[in-house]
Amino acid sequence: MSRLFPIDPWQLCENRLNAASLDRRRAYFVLNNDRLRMDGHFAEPYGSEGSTASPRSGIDWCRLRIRIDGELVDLSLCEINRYARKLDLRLAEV
Amino acid sequence: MVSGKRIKVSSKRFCSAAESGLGALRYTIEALNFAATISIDVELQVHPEVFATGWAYRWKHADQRAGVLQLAGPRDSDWGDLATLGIQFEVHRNGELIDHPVQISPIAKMVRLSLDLDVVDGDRVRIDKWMCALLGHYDQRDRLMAACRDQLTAASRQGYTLLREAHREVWAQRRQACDLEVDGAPEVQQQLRFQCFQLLQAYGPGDRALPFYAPRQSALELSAQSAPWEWEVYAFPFYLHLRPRLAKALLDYRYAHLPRALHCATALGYDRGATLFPTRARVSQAARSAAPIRADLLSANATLAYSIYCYEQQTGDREFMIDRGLELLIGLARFWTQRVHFSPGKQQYLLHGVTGPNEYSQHRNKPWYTSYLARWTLEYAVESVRWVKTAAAERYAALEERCKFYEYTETKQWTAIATNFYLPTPNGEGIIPAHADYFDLPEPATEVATDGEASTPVREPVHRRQLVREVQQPEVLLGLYQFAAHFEESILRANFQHYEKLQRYETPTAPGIPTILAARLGERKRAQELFDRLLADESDWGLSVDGSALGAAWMAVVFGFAGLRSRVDHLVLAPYLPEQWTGYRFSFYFQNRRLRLEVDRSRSVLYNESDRSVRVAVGGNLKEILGGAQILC
Repeated sequence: MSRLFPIDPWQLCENRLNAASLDRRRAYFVLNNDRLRMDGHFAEPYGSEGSTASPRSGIDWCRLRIRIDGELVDLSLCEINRYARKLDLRLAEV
Repeated sequence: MVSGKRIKVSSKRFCSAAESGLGALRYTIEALNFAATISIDVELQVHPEVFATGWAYRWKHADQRAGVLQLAGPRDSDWGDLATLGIQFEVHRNGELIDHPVQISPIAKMVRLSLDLDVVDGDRVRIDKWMCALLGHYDQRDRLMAACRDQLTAASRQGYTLLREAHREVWAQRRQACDLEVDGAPEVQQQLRFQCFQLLQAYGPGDRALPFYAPRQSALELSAQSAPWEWEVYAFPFYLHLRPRLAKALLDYRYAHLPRALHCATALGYDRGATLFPTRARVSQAARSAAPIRADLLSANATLAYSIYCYEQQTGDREFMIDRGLELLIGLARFWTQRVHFSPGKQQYLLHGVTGPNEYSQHRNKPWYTSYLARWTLEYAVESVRWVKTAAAERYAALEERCKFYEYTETKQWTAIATNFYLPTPNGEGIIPAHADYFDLPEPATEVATDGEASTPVREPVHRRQLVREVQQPEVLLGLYQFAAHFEESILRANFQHYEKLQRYETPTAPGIPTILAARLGERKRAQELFDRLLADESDWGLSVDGSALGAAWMAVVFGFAGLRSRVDHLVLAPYLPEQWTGYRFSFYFQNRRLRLEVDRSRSVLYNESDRSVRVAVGGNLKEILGGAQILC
């Protein structure tokens, strides 16, 4: 874990979208309760993931597709200026 | 974006700890340098084939307010055969609710609610999405559909912020009660907190019994493969010490599986009420046929009896034994009675063809661990029958009737087998052979690590694994950990040194038990090395966190470093502080008393936070701590 996220007693945090280890990091951002499980995917699509051929997960709860004048918001195509993602262990929120 | 448009996005989500099956997402998007039309598709998509065998998409209903999907599962599934999943959303532009008509996509297996709106520079669009999952039965499908929509409507009326507050409040209580604090090692603290977080987020309000069993999967995903036996060893103790009611719910879950365990045993030819719990408690017929029941995998049967025993001892709740425990034990004892055979040559009962916790070693004869557990289960069952008979005669009579239990003949048979059970004999140095042929196998070749660490066994090709003494899961060590009181320290030490050397640390749980034993035997340096390895091993994770390993690090600290052990009427503590740490603190329950241990460089203090006294053995002396008092350990 310490190789993937900076050491912090209360959170797992990343400040850079690391495409190479995205799959591996995803496992850390899973939230669930007794019946519902949100996978660690971004809400918006990322590249080809989530297509019918390769579903993101059994139940894809968080999916959102936003198009701006017809152009799909896809994180793999955007140039990202600032990025942060955080799992807060104190609040159980991402 | 490619077109040069700049946006600022923020996305927040949580799964409610306060409301079962409810989740929420808040997504904000701000247009920084353009005016355009934004189309929003809010989606819920299911791929039943991915999460469980036997589940299939049935139908959906979507309207302006919400979209709900229903999936039907196998008829004999534990928590219902109909899953109802729904989403609802709301869009605000600059704080003002957008009331445009929503388009509904007709695509199967998916709810897509779409909405278009125009924005200009600086506009902020906020999308709140609520999600709800319900489980129930096919014949209530209309009611479930309505209930799901009602819950979504209620959630949206409450709004994201209030829901989040409710979630935070419940979560904070849960977290504070179970926190294990470590000073001086922030990386250890982070990992421990993360692991405890996984175990704590896995269950719902009111300690709901079923689906939290494996945090890596939600209820639905769970139905394919759930409750591997490792859970009994590595997660059950965590819940048992921190949320005893949840531990009871776990045992209730096993109890609910009794008919299936009966079915499994019957399928293999056992009869007269014998039960075999599959090593993965499969939930449905369909899933079961996909992975056949194996007659050699008995670990779930072995560990279940031990869990019942731990539950009784740790909580002091003997009602469970009367209500359910004994029925479980009778089924297990009946299984062992039929699983053993009598050897005319040895004049003893033997167990053959078993794959124990160490799965590198398959179909072994006379395995020590499984034989030991089987023998102990028979003794425990006899003892429990006697106790229940005197303590609750009436309920016992009902049980006798229900299980067609013939006390005299059956307990006599159990005692006869237990007193004459064959266990492989230790060698001159006290090393207990893992199975009968163990001493005939060569030790694996070792390679000496270059960085000065201990040597590690060379990996053998699969076909040769059976032919050397390789250890995947600690098997003999697991037995010695569970029944430490039955053995002298010299035996524990000799076996620890012998088996730890052969241990392959390839599964995330593997270092757990050796760490505890090392700490208890005073081999602190080795304990520290193993503990570091336990935290570092995330190799098996893949797409989700491996649930079975999560409790192991917590156990290593509490049972290893703090040396906590429970006895029938008292606790044993032998805390020490690992070298790099400056302190650690945790709370736990013992027989309805809440206790707290604080260890730092200068001293270790045990606080009794309840109002009743408790007895604790420290350094061989039994002391009594009154309610609200404290002692130095």
